[in-house]
Amino acid sequence: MTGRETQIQKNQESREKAVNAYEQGINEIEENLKAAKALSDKIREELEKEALQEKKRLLEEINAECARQVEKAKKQLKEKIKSSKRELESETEVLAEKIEKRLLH
Amino acid sequence: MEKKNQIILILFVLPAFVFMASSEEHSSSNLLPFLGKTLNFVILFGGLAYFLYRPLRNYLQKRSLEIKQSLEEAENSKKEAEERLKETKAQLEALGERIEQIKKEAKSTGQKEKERIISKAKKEAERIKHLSQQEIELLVEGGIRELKEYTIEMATILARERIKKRMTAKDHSLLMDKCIERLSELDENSNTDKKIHSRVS
Repeated sequence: MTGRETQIQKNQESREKAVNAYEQGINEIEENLKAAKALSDKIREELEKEALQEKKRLLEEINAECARQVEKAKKQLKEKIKSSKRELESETEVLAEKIEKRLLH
Repeated sequence: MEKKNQIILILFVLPAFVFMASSEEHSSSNLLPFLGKTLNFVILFGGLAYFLYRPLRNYLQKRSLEIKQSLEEAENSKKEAEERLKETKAQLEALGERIEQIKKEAKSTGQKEKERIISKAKKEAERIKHLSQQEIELLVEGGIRELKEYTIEMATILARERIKKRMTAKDHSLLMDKCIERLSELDENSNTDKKIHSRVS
């Protein structure tokens, strides 16, 4: 084998070695980036999921609280109307008297 | 060029030496065939050298150029591959940083999205609170109206009963007179309004 052929073969071997290492490196980079992208998607999804759960919890709480307040208000109002009607019964006597006086006198 | 001339000289001289060495052994009658052979040899190789020198030289130059190019190409190819490898190594070294950056960006984007969703939910919660407050206010208004109606109804019932009990014939007559008087007043007012309207029109 001549020196020239040896040199060419040596260069080719070096080139092949470098190309293989380059391809391996590229593959490694692609795989790592793919994994990182999947991980970032997962992170985003997790955060979004957390936010949606928080939203659901918040709205459920507020709905329950509002419904409770409305029920409480209804109950209080019913009681208040009942007691007010009792209080107003004495005042209706006065009003009735006024109406009578106005009509008859 | 000197080497070439030396080779040509040897080619011419060598047969002479051969002849001189053999002339002692052979007779002079062998001289002519030898000269003929030498001449043939010179003509043949001279002709070959004359006709083949340029194509052979061109071929060899071309071949050496091709070899040089192939060597250069191999060298360049090796250099290029090594350069790419170097770049890839640099990229690999920076990969960790890049991955961290991707994660950081994902966290930041996700956090912003989370904040947006929660902010929207809070606004929705405020709207629900406001609606329930309005519902309570409506209930209170309805309660007040109910109490007013109840009071009026009760007062009317009581007044009717009282009037029924206490009304005499005189009171009845007086009440009728008042009603008639009131109706007359209303009629007069109505006529006055009509006159004003007709004048205006």
